[in-house]
Amino acid sequence: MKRTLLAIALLALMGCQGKGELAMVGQSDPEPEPSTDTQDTQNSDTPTTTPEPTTIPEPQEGIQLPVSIEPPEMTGDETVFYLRRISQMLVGRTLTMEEVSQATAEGDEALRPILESWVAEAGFSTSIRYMLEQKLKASGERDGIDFDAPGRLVEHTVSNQLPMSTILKADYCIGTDGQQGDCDSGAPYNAGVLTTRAFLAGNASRFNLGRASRMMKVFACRAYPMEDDLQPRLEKESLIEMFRAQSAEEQTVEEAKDAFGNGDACYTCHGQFSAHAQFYVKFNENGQWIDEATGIQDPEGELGRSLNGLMTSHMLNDVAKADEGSDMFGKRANNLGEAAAIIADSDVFVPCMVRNVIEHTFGMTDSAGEEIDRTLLEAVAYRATNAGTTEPTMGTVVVETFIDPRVVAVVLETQNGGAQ
Amino acid sequence: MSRSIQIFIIMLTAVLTAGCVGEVEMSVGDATETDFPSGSVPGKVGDRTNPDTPETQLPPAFELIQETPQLLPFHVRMAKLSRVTGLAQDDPVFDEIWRNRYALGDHNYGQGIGPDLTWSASKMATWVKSIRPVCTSAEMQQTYPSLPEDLNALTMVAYGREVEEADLMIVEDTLAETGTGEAERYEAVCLSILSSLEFVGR
Repeated sequence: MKRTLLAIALLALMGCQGKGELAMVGQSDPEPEPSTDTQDTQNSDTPTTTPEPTTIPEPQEGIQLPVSIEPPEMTGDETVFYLRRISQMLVGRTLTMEEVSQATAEGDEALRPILESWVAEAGFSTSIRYMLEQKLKASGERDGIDFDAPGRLVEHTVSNQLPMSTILKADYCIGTDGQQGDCDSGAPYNAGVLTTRAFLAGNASRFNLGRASRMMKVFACRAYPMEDDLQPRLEKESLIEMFRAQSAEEQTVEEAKDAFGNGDACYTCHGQFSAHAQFYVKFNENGQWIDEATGIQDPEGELGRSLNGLMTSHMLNDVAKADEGSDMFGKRANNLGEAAAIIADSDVFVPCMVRNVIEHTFGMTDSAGEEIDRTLLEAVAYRATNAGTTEPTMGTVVVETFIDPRVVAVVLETQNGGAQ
Repeated sequence: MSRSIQIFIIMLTAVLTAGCVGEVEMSVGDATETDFPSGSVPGKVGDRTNPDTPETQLPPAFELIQETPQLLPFHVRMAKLSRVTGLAQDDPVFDEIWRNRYALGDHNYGQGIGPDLTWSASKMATWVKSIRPVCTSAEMQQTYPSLPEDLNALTMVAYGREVEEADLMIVEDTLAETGTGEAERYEAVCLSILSSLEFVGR
């Protein structure tokens, strides 16, 4: 036990000194407007301060996180209180009397087995589906577009206890009959929920900023600009002129001259936006993949819109404009499918999903979620991935999250009349 | 209808004013596979099994702040109703609820409707109206033949706990302003439980 305490304390200290904090956007999510102003491209109505370009802190030499822990000591009453607090959002029901009896009799020893039984329930799959439907802004139906498709894939992934990365890596979609089948974008590859028309049409916007923002927000818990060593900026000279400026004086494009509201440089964000938006250059506003997409600006159209319902590329070169390959987290990806796999395999994906689960369970806003101690998220992710050696299921992530002593402590504090 | 909302408000008040008791002492479990550095570490966590252990709190990992009650997501409320009645969610008993789903806070992003989990009197009025068929259904009365006599059985499924004194007082208040007819009393108790904040909110 002492060794766990030491590790947690050390992690807390590391977190205080660490750089590259999660830069997250506000709760409401209007479609982002293309702009050379970094604030306007955050997919948020809540201004966020631009973080210093930072690096992901490396674990200190010799320090390892525990790959397995037990819940903290709790009385029976505390365990019942804790489980009551989380059950409805995790499994869509109150506790059964059997669970109450077990928790009362066994205290903290009941926590893990009860959580493990929950994540096998249908209500758990439904809950995680709901969580990601909210995050992705996808549900229902409109104009023949199946906005339930992302949710079905999520539910399929969770209920079949598939690796959580399936949400981004699946090369199939789930039909209304519950069976695997083709996805609806028409792309010659798939990227889980990202290549559903629901995600693509629901987040379509000029320069593809909305799609890039949503992808980063939901699966990396990042906003632009993010850490340089997570997403290197594309070469300035490779971008169209309006996105190169690093000061108002450098801006030579008339339409972009007023876009320095927050004093930040266009290139600060768009050097990274450009890389991620490029993966969407062949998807039109209805989420259909168009092989002939050029990425060129429609000379008669609104800034950021290409021809035939497609969006303009950030790239300068005509060949590069039409190429749906780009850079994801410093690695070349030939299309959105490969980019999604890089996100799913990255060090930011699992901690971000831990954060999503905590926000969901406690009804937290994005801004409150932003304040979750990153060392907690990383510690849970470390255990859930068995020290980075396995791809966790959503169930594993949830169990490891809710046996964590620091999560338990926050909830039990509310029992004592603290914050609710 | 106004009576049902009144009941709800009474219950809301009761829940919000319920005292929170109990002390919290935290400790963390053992690592089973660890390789930690030695040396002193600022920050300690109390171990109640060893009273001599010095206690210092680690900083909270996050804060839980909820200034106003929130409704549970619509799908959770539906799942709970299904559990209480033992009926599938597509049973005709729930038709009125499905008809009013967006007024009750469900979402449909394809139609530009996000979830609305704010509690409001009008939303609760719609909820009460929508669950009346549930409370008058044969299945409900088969499962809980007599209310308030079977209140404990109902709270065990609806709340996940046995009936408490506060519940009985609320029911008593409800029945005091309800007619003497058995069906009327049954419905009043049923509505008061299934529209309480403990059932629909968090």
